[in-house]
Amino acid sequence: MISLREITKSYHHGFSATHVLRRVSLDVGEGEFVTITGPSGSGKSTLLHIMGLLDEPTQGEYHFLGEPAHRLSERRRAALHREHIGFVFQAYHLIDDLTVYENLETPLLYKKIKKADRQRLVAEVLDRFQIVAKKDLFPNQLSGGQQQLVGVARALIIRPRLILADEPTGNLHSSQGDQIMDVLKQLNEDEGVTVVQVTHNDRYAAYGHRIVELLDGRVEADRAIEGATA
Amino acid sequence: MLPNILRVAWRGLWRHRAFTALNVAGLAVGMACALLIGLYVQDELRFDRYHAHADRTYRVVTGTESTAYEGIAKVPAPWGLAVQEALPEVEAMVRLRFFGETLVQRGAARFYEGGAFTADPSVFDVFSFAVQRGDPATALAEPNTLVLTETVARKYFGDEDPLGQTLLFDNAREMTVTGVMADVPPNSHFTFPFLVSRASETDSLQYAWNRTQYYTYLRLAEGASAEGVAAKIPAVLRDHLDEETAATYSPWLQPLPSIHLHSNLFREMAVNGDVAYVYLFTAIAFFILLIACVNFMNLATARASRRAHEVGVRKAAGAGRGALIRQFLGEAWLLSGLALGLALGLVSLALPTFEALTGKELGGLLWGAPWSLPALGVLAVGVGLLAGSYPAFVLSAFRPAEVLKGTVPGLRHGRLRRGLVVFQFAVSAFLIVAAGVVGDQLAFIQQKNLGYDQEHLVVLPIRSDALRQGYQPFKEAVRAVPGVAGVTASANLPGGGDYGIPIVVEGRDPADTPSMRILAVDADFIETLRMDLTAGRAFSADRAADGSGGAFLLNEEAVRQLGWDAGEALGRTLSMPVVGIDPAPVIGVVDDFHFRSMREAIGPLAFFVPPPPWYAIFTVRLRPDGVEATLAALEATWTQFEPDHPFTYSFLDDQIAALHAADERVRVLLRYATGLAVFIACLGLFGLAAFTAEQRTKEIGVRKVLGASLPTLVGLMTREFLVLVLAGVLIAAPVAYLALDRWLDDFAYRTPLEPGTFAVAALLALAVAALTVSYQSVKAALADPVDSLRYE
Repeated sequence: MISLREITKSYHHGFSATHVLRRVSLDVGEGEFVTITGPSGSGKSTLLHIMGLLDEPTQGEYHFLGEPAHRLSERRRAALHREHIGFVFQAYHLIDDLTVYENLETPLLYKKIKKADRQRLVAEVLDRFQIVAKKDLFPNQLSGGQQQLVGVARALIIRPRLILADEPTGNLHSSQGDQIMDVLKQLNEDEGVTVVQVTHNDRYAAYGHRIVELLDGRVEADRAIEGATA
Repeated sequence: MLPNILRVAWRGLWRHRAFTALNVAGLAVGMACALLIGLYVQDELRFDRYHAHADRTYRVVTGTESTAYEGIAKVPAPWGLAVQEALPEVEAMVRLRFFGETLVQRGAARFYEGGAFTADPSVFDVFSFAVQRGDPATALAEPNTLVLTETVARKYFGDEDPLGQTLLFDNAREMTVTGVMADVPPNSHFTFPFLVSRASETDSLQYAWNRTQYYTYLRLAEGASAEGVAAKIPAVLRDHLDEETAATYSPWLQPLPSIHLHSNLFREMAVNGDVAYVYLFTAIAFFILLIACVNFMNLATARASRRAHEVGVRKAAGAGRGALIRQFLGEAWLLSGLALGLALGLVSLALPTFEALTGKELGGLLWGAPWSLPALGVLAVGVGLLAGSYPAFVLSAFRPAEVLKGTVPGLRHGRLRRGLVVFQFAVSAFLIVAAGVVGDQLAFIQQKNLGYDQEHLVVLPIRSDALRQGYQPFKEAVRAVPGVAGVTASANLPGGGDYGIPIVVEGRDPADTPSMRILAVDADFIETLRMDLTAGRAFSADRAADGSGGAFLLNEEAVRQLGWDAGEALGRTLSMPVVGIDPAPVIGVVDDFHFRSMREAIGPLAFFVPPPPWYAIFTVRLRPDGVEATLAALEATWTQFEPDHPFTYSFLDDQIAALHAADERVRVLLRYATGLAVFIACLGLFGLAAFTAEQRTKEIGVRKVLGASLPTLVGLMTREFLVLVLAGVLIAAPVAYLALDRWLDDFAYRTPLEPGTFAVAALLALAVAALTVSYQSVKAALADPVDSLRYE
């Protein structure tokens, strides 16, 4: 599903350049649950953004679902992203001016789904995450855990084939974090959704099948987790 | 998608109410201003277009051998008839001639009515005046008949039907009302209280081939060319005049709808508009709207750092760039729609004042015209596009990966934002300077020494032939009134009343003689108006030989153009054969004085003492104190001589000020426009200062903790904006200098462009900006640093 070849990402500041990713090659298959770990500044988030087509590599090739994403137009990449990828952020990134309902509806609007279908889909996820009562509240009226539930719900409302989660539990206390991770695990196991998460937390790293460790923008280690079924 | 965009937009706008209010208020004031100016311009452009055949109706005007003016708006009466007879292209023709101010009476209702015309019966064929009573085809066919406008009909007849009833003219003449028409629409280049039939004219002027007294309009057949018709007129004239005389005329045709804005001939029927002012105000409206749009862009990009997050999230949720552009434009349109609503409210409030200021009726244009709704829609969409496109395209280009990481790309646009502020204040400063200079010039005109003493001069029109003939006894009686310093009778006055009569200088080729303006005055004129003599003497009542064209005075300019010095002029012989004035000597030279508007240079001028039938006006100089009592005494004297004519008077300086009424109007409008432009620019600056202060909260906190004083902090934040305002002023100054120098060059007598005006404009712009910014600066500087630093 994901095929990264020699991906490099660097930023130029005058004459000096910062290399965030150095020749990273990585493959993620359909249905995998991959955890990316590494210290701060090792390039985890950037890698995730590139996978999610929110950022472009400076060099290298990226094939997503067989399409050469590095060569696609912005419009085509946005379309790929819109169809197949759900994003979950550490800081939730809900839109402050929209209610829970409207936040959930937003990705559907961009997919040009009809109103009746939107209502049905939103009702389904509200029900599934047991947040029906919160649908008319604004994000700042919710707890962090609830906000992140909405964030996850928004990511999967389009029935994506890939969920990218950037430290989804980073701002949550453990019981909330467990809930979120259980949701991701369930999605992966029951619906075959591919999950790539970034985390610092060893316990949550163990939810996946495979751990990729980054250090200074390089893949330091890439190993399967013992007992995993992959 | 659209309802969603609007809902989201509305919520965002409501949440940031202060921001929204600033934006909407600025846009609304800008739009209201543009709308008002738009109405003004529309009205100027639609003059005389309401006539059904306006597109093929023309006025015949002519150049003459006189070079003092481009041409005269009137032609001799027989021209119209001859042209109509000779040229099949001429479908209809009408001639209008001013009917002098007349005392009109019916029972107790008794008023002087000025500004009426005599007209051919075809007047209602050529012009589309709405005749309400009577038969338009025959209403003006008979002698001593007239058609009243509605207002005048009501004035004399109330609710009665005036048709067939009579009005008494000048205590002597019964005039029968044969029609009533709607008032002349205000967007007409001429107006009148009533029209008198041509057949009522008692003098022989309508047969005179050499007296240009008739405003003549032609309706041409469809497809006929105006140039073609104009080219044939000289041949028609040659059939009736000798070759030499015919050659002195150079007639042309003016399209009816262009007269108001494009014609500025001698003896126009009323002061026309000026297309230059139409351009000027269109430009001002555009710039004010632009300033308001810039506010919008500025505030929106300043807010971009906040919206960047939303852009990132939406892109992560699958939004393409197009969808985001639509969203931001949708918001802009919502704002501009709100602003338009508010602007319409403001316009309705301001309309009565604006109408009074411009002397126009504009309400119908705003609400009644079929195109006004679509036009307003286009305005809202256009302004939304102009104001919203920059934020839409900038914000939608944000990279989600960057903004979601917390990088604030908004800061990158600081340079553009500063540029826009500079632009706004450049425009504002330009307008401030313009308003200042226009004000200076008009003050200069009003205070300029005219060359005679125009104050305390009361003008009394002569109302009867008896008084005209017996003017001497009346003068004596007036002179005896306490408080009167002098009195003179004349045919005309300075201030535009001068005649153009060909003058013959003995021993000089007429082609070589400058065309001179003429004042026909009695022996007390020079003394009463307090004019000075360069050489020779003034007319004297004691010398009978001076009277009835027996002597001439020239002004210095006439002497100069004749190539003499003042001494050489004395004793030269002049004559005016056209009006039967035989050769007579020049007895004195009068110092130059202004007898036209200040736009015109002083031209050559001659005075002579006419026979008594010429006299039309008494001019009385009052002593400065007790003016009221003197006027009352003058009225008593008048009533003694003229029991049948009510006493009326006017002040000469008011008449002279009226020469500059159009400029005065421009001055007032410009002042309003400038105030609004500065206000809108400051509104934007206020918002921008708030955002900057917010962005710098942490910096200010740190500085405060490090011991910076309040004035230091306020200065720090204020200075940055003042530099921008100053830059704007510096850019505006040379542009304003060039533009206003050109405007001033239109005046023959102009004030110099003072550096002081520019300095005052700069200081004003800076002071207003400083005041605007300092509120936010002080607020930010007073904030408790603990609060601003806690969250780090």
